[in-house]
Amino acid sequence: MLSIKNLHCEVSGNKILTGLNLDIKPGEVHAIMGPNGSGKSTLASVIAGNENYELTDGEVNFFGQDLLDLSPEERAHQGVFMSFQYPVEIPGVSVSNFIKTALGEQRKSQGLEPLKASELLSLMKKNLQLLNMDSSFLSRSMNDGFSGGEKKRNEIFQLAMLKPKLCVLDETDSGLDIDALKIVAKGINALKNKTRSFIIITHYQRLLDYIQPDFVHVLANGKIVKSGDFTLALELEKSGYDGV
Amino acid sequence: MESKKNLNLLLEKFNLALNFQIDDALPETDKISKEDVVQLFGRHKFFITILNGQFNSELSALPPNVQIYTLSQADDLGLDSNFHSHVSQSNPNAYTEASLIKNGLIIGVEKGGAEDILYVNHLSSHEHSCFNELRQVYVFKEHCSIELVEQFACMNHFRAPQFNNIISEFVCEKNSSVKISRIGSMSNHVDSKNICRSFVKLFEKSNFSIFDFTVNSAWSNNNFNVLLSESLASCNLYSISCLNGNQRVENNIHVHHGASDCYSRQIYKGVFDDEAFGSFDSCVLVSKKAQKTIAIQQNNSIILSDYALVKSNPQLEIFADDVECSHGSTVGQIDEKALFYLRSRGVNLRLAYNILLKAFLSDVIEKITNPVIKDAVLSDLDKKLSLRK
Repeated sequence: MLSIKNLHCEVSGNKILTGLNLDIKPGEVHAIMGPNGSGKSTLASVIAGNENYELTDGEVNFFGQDLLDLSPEERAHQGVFMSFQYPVEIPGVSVSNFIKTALGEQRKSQGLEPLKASELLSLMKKNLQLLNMDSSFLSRSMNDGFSGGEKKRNEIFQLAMLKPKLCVLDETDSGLDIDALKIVAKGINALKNKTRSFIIITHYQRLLDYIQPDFVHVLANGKIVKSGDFTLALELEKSGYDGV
Repeated sequence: MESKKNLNLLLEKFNLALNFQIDDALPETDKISKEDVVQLFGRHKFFITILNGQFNSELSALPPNVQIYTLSQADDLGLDSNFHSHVSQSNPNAYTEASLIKNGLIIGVEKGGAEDILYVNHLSSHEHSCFNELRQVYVFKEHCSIELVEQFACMNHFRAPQFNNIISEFVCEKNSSVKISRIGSMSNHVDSKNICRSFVKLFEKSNFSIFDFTVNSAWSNNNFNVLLSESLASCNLYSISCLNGNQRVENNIHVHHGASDCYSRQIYKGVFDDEAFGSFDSCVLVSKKAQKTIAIQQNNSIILSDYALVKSNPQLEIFADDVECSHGSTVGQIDEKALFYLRSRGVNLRLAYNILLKAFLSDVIEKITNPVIKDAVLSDLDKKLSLRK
């Protein structure tokens, strides 16, 4: 579904990705690990369409379509979702309104009418339950005054609502305590299926205790330097990135 | 003649040039029907129509506790002592101009609560561009409670820009509670110019709130002069400006805390695109005897282009020693990260801008308690924001 070939990118002259290759098939879970500054978050941003990164070479294909030609919103309509490492606070926009708008835009792109208010509400309530969230959450302003755990749960909540094909989770485990981590992992596991793929970007193996990846990749200096199965994550935890 | 004199006085004072000719011909007023009023302002239970500066009883439907008087009846109503002194002290120029204005009325609101909103419709029926002047005096009697909506429209708005000069005086007697929304209609001609000067005097435990909405005139000069003259009075001034092209708005505010335990709050928000200009010049004066004052001054602006300009000047002059006063002023731009966040969820760029700007304005919008007015404001904002290139 996603095929990245020889991707090069830079920000204000600094080369960040230097020939990255990655191939993802439907239903697969890929973990991307690596030291600080190796380009993990950049990769997530480039897939989602952040225009602050300058792509100098390479291609990104999503279901045979050139992803780099599409705007961030078009990518979202095609089924790309990125969970932000630092979700943005938007005071004055309630969670329910935000979801309603985002889902409405997605359905519009597919030529569908917006969901009925009652359908939308019951869908939201179902997904809130999945993440142990109270329905009072819906009337709060987007991420405004949310704790770290609430912000990340809100990201997964949106994922559950938008039902993307490819989910890029950028350090979803950072800033979470053990309980919150378990809840988030439970949510992600419930959303896994045969057609939905995940890219899980993380520093630590901890999240992978709860979500078992099919593949683990080590990113260093803008390239994938090693790939393996779940055991690679355990090995990294023991010997550190220097050992790779 | 006096009107011409006043016009020249104002043009000189504000260093203003008119790019349209003022026509002296008297408008025809008898052609206007109630249906015209409904079409321009909407269908309402209670409304006052002020046609070319004159109260028109045939085009009005008054609630039982509202009475209209002419300006010459001011003495009979005992207005001289508690009102004119406030205007003349705080703004001698406006006082002179106010006395030159012949068009005007006094609106008296008696004790009791109004069951419905009273719409004050300002209508100009001139065929050509003209200079409209009005002096309106509101007297809110003890224990009255009312919600007003002031609307402005012109029969030939698309053809003829107008120059409006409105002096409003509000007297809020003991325990009165007043809520006003001023909605500058989207149907105004884009070259129209408005001077709107408001003088508010509050007595014990009275409560005055006004929401000012500026979207569609070339130049607006909004003045507020508030005197909290007795204790436990409170005053809220809320404002939204959303301008583009060469539009200008100037907000000048003076709030005087003259008694103890009073509350005042200003929230002024603006969105400026293209070469629009906005200024906020506000002073809160807390007298020595005005202990336990709470005064809040807030001005936030967003600039959407490289050429828009905003000047913000919040001031506090405090002579009492036990007060809670704050002022905040920000000028910024749309948060790129928030924009990307929205887009990454499938919201297109234009809608993302719209959502973020409305979110920015939300702390004023949520103060509009009436759903009809709120919808009208949101729809005008949508129209205005959709003009963005």
